[in-house]
Amino acid sequence: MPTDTEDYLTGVMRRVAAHTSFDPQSIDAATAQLRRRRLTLGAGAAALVIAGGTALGITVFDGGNSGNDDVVATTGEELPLLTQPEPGDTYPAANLQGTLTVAENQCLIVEIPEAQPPQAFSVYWPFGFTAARDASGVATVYDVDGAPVAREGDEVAIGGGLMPEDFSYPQGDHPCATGQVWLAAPEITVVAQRPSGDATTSAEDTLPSSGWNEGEVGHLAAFAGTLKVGEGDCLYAEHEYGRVIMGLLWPEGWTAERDENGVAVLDQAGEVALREGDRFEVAGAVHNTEQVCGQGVHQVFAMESRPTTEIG
Amino acid sequence: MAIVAPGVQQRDVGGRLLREGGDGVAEMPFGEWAAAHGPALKRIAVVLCANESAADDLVQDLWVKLLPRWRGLPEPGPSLDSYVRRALVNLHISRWRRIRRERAKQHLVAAPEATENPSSIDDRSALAEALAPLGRRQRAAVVLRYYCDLDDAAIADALGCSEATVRSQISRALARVRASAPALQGPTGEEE
Repeated sequence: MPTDTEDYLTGVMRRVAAHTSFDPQSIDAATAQLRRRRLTLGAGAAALVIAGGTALGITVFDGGNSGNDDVVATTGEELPLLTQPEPGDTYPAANLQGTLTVAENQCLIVEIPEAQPPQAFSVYWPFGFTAARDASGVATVYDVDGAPVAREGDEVAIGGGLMPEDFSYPQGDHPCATGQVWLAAPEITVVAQRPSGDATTSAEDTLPSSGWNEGEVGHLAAFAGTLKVGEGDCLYAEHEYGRVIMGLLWPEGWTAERDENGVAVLDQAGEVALREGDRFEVAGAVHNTEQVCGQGVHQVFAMESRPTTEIG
Repeated sequence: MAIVAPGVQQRDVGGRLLREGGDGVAEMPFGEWAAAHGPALKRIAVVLCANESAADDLVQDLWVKLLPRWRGLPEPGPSLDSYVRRALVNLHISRWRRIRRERAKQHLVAAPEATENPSSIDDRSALAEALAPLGRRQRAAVVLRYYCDLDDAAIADALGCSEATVRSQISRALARVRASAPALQGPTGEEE
């Protein structure tokens, strides 16, 4: 039997709900937000490796992994990509193998220069894929989770098949939908990496940032662990319980340097906030990433508070 | 049980029917599903937040959470409804402090839109006032019970707690609401 209070709450909630409206644009906005976040996170995990290493006087991180796991810092310059509007379930079983190339219109295409005559294919990339140039200007394609898939110059194998010539793309007259268009399945393999010698380096000495500034409100997930310095002077955290590796995105403007006592992390004011080996705790948010310091599939913690070394 | 809500029916989306029997449309694109369920989810969000803009943010956060997982989620039906409800509530709880700060700021600076119906402003104020003394879980429990009309089991599922905890949360929440609004106490001051 409802009470007066229960009736009152039900009534007022229903009246409030009845006077609200839903904006379908929020779905598109969320999609765009997600893509930006993926791009940022992809770059963040990469910058963790490279900026951390270069800040400490070490030029290039080599995680020791093969294939397309190399992570590179992006400049954030997004490239146009013709992408499928939704994840697909089935794809044609053909295979396209060629060199990932940036066309004049900045679209990423696959070229087969050795074919007679040479051929080039536009690509209808899987849902959620993005592309951006890294710090050295090399174009990189990222998957739906923000993990790098292939770089400009890589020889790639892409499952799928040719799109019908008269296909009407949801994006309308997309600049990348020209010529022969290859419908790409999500599993894309790098058959051979781009020739070495142009590996990305960066003079940047700031740590990869979560974008959080001191004084701002942040997420409240907690993380506690020990600051470690890995191969290539890559900074990461080891969780308190078990050997869980966590990548780190630092407060905005934080840097790292090596002194006589090891690696120190400096805040925006240049004060030492953490040192290698410190046990610390911090609030923020966890995101998935493909790789942390070359140590496999793990997560990255975006710090949205100042880490403290006082663990209770 | 549908995700929501009084007056909301399952809809035919793009010629395909959303069914509740667990044999839903596996191939339904996220955008279509979100467009169909967005209005109902927004209404829950508004009631949870007692604030339109915070509700907009909450729903958008929900899309961001669901979209990358879409292919792995259950087909449209009770299981998906349950998952989405849980996600919405958890997002609301995790955003709690931020929302409260924003609400406080808006209370200080924002005037209602001139075109808004005065009675809806009154209702929103009344709702905000009624829910103000409640903790985050109590508020969610109250909304799921008295707006979404869910039973103890469904609320427990959404909150990740036992049914007994749900009952005690709601009981305490009602007591708090009554305590903060003497007019609701009735002639004897005792309802239950």
